Amino acid sequence: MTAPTGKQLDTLREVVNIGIGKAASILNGMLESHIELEVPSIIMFDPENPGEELPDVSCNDLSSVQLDFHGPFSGSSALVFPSESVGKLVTALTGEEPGSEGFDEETTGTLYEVGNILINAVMGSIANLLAVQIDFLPPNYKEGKFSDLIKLKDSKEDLASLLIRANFNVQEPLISGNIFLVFELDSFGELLTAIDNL
Amino acid sequence: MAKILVIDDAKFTRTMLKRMITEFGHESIEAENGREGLEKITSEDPDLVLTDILMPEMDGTELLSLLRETNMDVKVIVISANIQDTIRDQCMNLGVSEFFGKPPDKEKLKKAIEGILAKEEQDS
Repeated sequence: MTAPTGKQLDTLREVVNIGIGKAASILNGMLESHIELEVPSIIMFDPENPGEELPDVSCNDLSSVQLDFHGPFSGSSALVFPSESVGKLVTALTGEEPGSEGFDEETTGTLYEVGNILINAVMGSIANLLAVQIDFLPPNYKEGKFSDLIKLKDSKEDLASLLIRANFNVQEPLISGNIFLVFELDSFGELLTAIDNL
Repeated sequence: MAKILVIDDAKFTRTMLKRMITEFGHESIEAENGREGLEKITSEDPDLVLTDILMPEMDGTELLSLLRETNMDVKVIVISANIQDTIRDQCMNLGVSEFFGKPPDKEKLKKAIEGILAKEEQDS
């Protein structure tokens, strides 16, 4: 793989930033609360052993909605919440309280659709900016530890990936979450070409 | 009062759209995918259809293509999480009246629905 230049990484970070901004704007409208965003970080990443690069997501109690994508470049995108944020998010969106009848079913369905909306906002903005079409597989909802959630489908076990991470925090109710984009390195050249064409 | 069919596999979105449609003063009926939606278009004869694109069994673009092939004269608004320009163009080429990203802005959706229904009434 050709190593990305500083300029390409800068552009990639900004393209992702615009996509995250679009997703935050949607979440802001849904929750009617301010969303704080952090600048996306770009990390070379081993999906089998995320602990070193991502020490704060090494807990085992995470919920995630994941969409795999294919097109000029391939990979996976995920919206990841610590479990304590999930209940607050679902209550804020549906009015259902944890422990009420049907709350678990409501949680899965709501996270599935919220993840679908927010991830598509990010990836759709990126695709529009780069003038490419990205196709998605239907979303998956998963619970567990980070290394299981973020594993790429069909990828070789030892294949390193390029991971882009953006953290966000909702002010009221207090909800934290992460959006992860994992690009398979064998398709990363196509992404850099699209960036160079901007 | 118009009868509006909402086709979406996500209960969360069906509930949100049903609430908006009721607030706009119309009746809402539901389907969970394109195939069920097609059956309800035939059996219920809705005045307007709001449909998602990515759904199991039959997705939104298959439904739109079938409606076009069979000359079924029902107006359609697409409401999709997939906001890529290419998807929007594909839907517009299949004859949809409006395209909204999810979740739709309530006032803009109301304006679009009322505009389509008014034009339908004028033409009939």
